[in-house]
Amino acid sequence: MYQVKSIESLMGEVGVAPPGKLTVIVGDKVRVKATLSYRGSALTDYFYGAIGNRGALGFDEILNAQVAISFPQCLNWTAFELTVDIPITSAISPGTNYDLYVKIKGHTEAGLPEVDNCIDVTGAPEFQNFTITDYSKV
Amino acid sequence: MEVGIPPPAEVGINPPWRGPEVIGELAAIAVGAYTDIVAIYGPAEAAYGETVTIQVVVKNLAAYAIYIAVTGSYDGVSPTFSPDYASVGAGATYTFTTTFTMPNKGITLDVWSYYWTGTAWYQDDHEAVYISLKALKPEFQSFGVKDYSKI
Repeated sequence: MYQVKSIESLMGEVGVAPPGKLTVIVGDKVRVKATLSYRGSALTDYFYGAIGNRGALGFDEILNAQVAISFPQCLNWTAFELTVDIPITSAISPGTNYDLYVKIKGHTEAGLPEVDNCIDVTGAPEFQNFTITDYSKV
Repeated sequence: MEVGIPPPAEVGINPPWRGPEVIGELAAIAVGAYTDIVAIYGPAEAAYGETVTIQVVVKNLAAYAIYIAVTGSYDGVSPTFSPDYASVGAGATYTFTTTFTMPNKGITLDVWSYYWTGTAWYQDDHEAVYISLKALKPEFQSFGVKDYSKI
């Protein structure tokens, strides 16, 4: 009996928590989830995520994405979870140890959480060990 | 001395539905300024949804004890003051308190003081205060990446 395994199962765990490492290829999307607590008037902004390289001069963004977010007025600290999907395009070269950071675009005072060396990008899809294992009449 | 339940007043400024059991020396008083709202304590501004506490200090201008009550109204809402009424000595003051939830706009709170004539509550003094809507400064904490996954 033949069994086809998904690429994900062959590559192992698909989702990871910081500081775990994620391996992606062009065409994938990286879904980044962040949590924070908010207090204040109702607020509309953008949740922004970027993948690139942390350098001495700052964060060199290669890929990024943003989604509109809105907080209702919160008199007390209220927890929220934010999600943004960053498409992996050919703009990023295959490589290892890419870094990831997120921000509230109009309120960077909220912080710039960053996870370093968390994403590996592999090249074009590759195959190996492709062979006929048997053949039969069906 | 006649004691009874006061008739309904206008919506929004209804005095307490019941009168005091004992009226004392006010039986002969029909009209006149016998109360003075000397102070209204509360926030100058409040955020939407915030609990606003208002204290109204009323002075008895009469030369004898009278029963005093307070009502209020803002934006069609009539917050209830506590206590319903109080016996206040000559020249003395009494503080009535109410709380309400701040609506999503600035409001003018009208406050009226009443004294008991022996048969009805008489609307006497009036004051108004404006409470502006406070915009809260955005604050953030505990911002961090929870996880990331390939989709």
